[in-house]
Amino acid sequence: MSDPNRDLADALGHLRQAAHLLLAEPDPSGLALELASGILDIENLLEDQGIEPAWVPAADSTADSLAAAGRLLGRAAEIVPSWVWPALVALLDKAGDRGHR
Amino acid sequence: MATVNALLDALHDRTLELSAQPAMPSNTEDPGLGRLVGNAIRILALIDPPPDVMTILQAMPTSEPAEEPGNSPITTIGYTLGALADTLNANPETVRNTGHTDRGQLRSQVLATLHQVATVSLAALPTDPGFSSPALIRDLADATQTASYVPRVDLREPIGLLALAQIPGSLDDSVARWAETAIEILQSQTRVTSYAFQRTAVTIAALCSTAAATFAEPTGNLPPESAASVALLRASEAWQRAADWPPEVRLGGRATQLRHRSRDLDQALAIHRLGQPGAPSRNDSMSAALLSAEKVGACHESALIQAVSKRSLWINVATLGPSYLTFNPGARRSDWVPYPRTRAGQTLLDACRQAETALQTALDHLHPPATASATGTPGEKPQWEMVSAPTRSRRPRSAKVLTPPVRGIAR
Repeated sequence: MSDPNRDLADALGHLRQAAHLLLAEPDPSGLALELASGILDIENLLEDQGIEPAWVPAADSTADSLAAAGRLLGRAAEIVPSWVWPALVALLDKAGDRGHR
Repeated sequence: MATVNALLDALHDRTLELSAQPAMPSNTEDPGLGRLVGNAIRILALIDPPPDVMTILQAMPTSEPAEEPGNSPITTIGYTLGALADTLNANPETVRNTGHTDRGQLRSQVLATLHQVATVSLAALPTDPGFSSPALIRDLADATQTASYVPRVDLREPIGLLALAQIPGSLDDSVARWAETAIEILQSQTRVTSYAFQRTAVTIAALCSTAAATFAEPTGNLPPESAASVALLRASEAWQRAADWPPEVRLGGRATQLRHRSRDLDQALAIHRLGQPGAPSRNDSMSAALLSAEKVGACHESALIQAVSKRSLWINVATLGPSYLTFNPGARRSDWVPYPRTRAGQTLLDACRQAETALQTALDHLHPPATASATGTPGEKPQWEMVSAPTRSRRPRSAKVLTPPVRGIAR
């Protein structure tokens, strides 16, 4: 039985790693900035719910980090604000298009 | 529309233009003086006016001239004061709640302009004792002289960012609202968060890259390969690096309002990118947005210096190694703790300083700092130029601010 609070904290940790991966590399297309904005806003929304992030190791790519965050958030879906889902799906699509899937 | 700070900058520039002009002897006052006086009264009446100055101003004619030279410095100063008076009178509650320091600063800037106008007018008028105006103008010059020595600084928010009738959802409006919220949060030692630092840095980066693209449009201000475009792209990259906080470092707290304002600005920028390339208003809007970004960037840097120097950044215990847990037996791996020995703060600060420098370099390419050509001749007094604020360079503001006033806004 998973602990929803732990799942949410880990999900937030994966989102932080995803933002870090995006921002660490220059991207003249501007897509990295767009994706990072979306990720930071989801992080902030979750922190507004009183969720404190855990530190998790970095995944291989932004898309992997986002996917890990999505799986963990899905386990505690009843706590997660509904606004997060379409935003997260859009981010996953764009991160995949960017070649990080 | 121009903000109060932008209008005060324009007022300063136009007052310098007035003092740089040679005195032209005349038997009558400048026909624009009546409007100028009337608008000065409308401003001063809102901000604890000096009684002696008000008495003098109210004794002067304030009627609208039937004919006047459209581009005389007195006329343009009168229009600028009119726009400033309209903006302040449209926001009486904000003006009423503004602190003593900013009200005093605003009053001093208006009085300093009146002093220069009176001094220049006096030099142009005859000394005929039967002519009544010179006495009033001399009194005005005397009563406002002290204010002309007050160093000039920008007004703080919210009064400094007040502006007339921005279109809701426009880039101007979104930038102003974002900057106001970002500065408010960054200046609060208790409310600033890592989200606030990262999100403002990302937004500044996006503003810089959008500006580079806008100015490089076929009918834009700059060719794509210009030094300014390159500098803007470098600034964007530098602010992206400044936004990159290591996942093991944070500063918790709520910043809901900033999230909303940042998303609104994201949308406005997206609409801007899809707009008609080459429209003049696009360049004006981006110029104004970059100047707001510069202010937010400066606040970002100051706030980060505070956070790092007070060692208030939090580090995750899991990343501090087993020795930390050995020496701090009460700590858990999931805790976030202040950790003075981390180098992360200095790294973040270095990135932020580089980003701020890169943005200022880009702005200097776009608006080369003004030369001292507008100063008076040696020995001429008073030297209004000498009382400029000793802070950041006062580069000319956006073309929006320097555009001649729009009919119907200034009176």
